[in-house]
Amino acid sequence: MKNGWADRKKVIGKSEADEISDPKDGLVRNGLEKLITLPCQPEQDRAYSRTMVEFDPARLIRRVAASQDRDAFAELFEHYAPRIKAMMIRRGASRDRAEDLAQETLIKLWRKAAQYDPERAAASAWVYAIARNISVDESRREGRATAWAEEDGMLEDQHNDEPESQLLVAEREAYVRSSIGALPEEQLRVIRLSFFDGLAHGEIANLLGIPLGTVKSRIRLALQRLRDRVGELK
Amino acid sequence: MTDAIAHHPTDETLAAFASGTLDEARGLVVSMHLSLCAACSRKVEGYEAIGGELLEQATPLSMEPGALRNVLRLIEEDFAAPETGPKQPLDRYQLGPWRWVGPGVRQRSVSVPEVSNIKVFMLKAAPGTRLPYHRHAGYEWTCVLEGAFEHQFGRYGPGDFDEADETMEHKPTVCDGDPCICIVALQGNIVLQSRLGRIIQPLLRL
Ligand SMILES: [Zn+2]
Repeated sequence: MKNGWADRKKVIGKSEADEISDPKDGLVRNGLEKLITLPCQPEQDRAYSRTMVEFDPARLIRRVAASQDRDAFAELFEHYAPRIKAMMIRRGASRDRAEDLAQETLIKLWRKAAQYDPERAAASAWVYAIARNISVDESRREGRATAWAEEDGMLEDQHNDEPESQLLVAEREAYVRSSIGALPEEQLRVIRLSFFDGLAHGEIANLLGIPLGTVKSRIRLALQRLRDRVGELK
Repeated sequence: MTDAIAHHPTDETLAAFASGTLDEARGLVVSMHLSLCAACSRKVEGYEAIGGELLEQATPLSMEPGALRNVLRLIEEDFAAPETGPKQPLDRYQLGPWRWVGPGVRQRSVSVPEVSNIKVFMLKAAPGTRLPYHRHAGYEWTCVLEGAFEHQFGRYGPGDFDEADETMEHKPTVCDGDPCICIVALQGNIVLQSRLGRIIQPLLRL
């Protein structure tokens, strides 16, 4: 059940985007919209749990590692590739290049699946690290692009404004999620610019028109808050 | 050895590493520290969890039709190439030969492409060597691999990480025992303070 809430939130976010071309996405979204208005309706609950709740990336990665399971891989692909594509664009890749890099990341995921240790890292953190490495290699290959250096609103704020009690049953990932959601906007912004958009601290300062020291202290404060809430962030 | 590490990168540096925004030279020196320091590796994993969550929250962008098929085909063609085991951070770089640069001091280049005047090299210094008193024009990040040196901020042994910038002057001395081997990312030129230093500076090629 641990991904249910997150995925619901994500799909709601997606319905606001202009990028829904996959008819399957549309179906899922409609189902969820009903689910949200009629949360106890059993039909929708079944559809919901079949499409979203069972998404368990850690298990899927293990299946890929153990038996080169293509169905498991396809599920991972459908979930992560479109998000990695968004991340690559934020990190300065063209749309075409972002598409390639997202595919490259998933190929890497396939090859490295046996190295994934679910005891050590959440699947999302592990996938992020692979994508980050590919993005870093790319920017070293290409020299740093600067075309993206503006906030284009592609990543709309999906602030977590739900009561905290909804998150208490979930696992550590959920704490990271809620902690990020609870950051003050100005801290969340620099964290996102750094971790997702891949901007160096000096670049963030230029983009936001604030002193480098302010960027550094916001990041420091954010990390401190995250650590306080998540403990050691193991 | 791991628990003997006393000097670590700052949290801010580890977070920059986790987000992939350090330049390659500094990133490599941090990787060397991480390969020796379990505590900082755990912190980086924690920061990667932040990245992972931001990835989960990202608004997806549709992939091209046939993207999955394309990837499966590429995997099919390259089926026999699973990656096993972690690579050591230095594995992807060529190391130059050890060159004499001064009494008791040798240096070898690490083939990190030079970006904005940042060089990476390894330094090997004999026990008791006093490195010239110097100041930095930019930063100098060091990770000790073997042996130890000390300066006014403490003793630096295997795994220890030293972030020096243009605000510091220091005069490291190699401790007794084994030769000290470090990996260093250096930005700009160091400014040697002594006359002898100025004479040997060209030899150091720094
Ligand atoms: Zn450390």
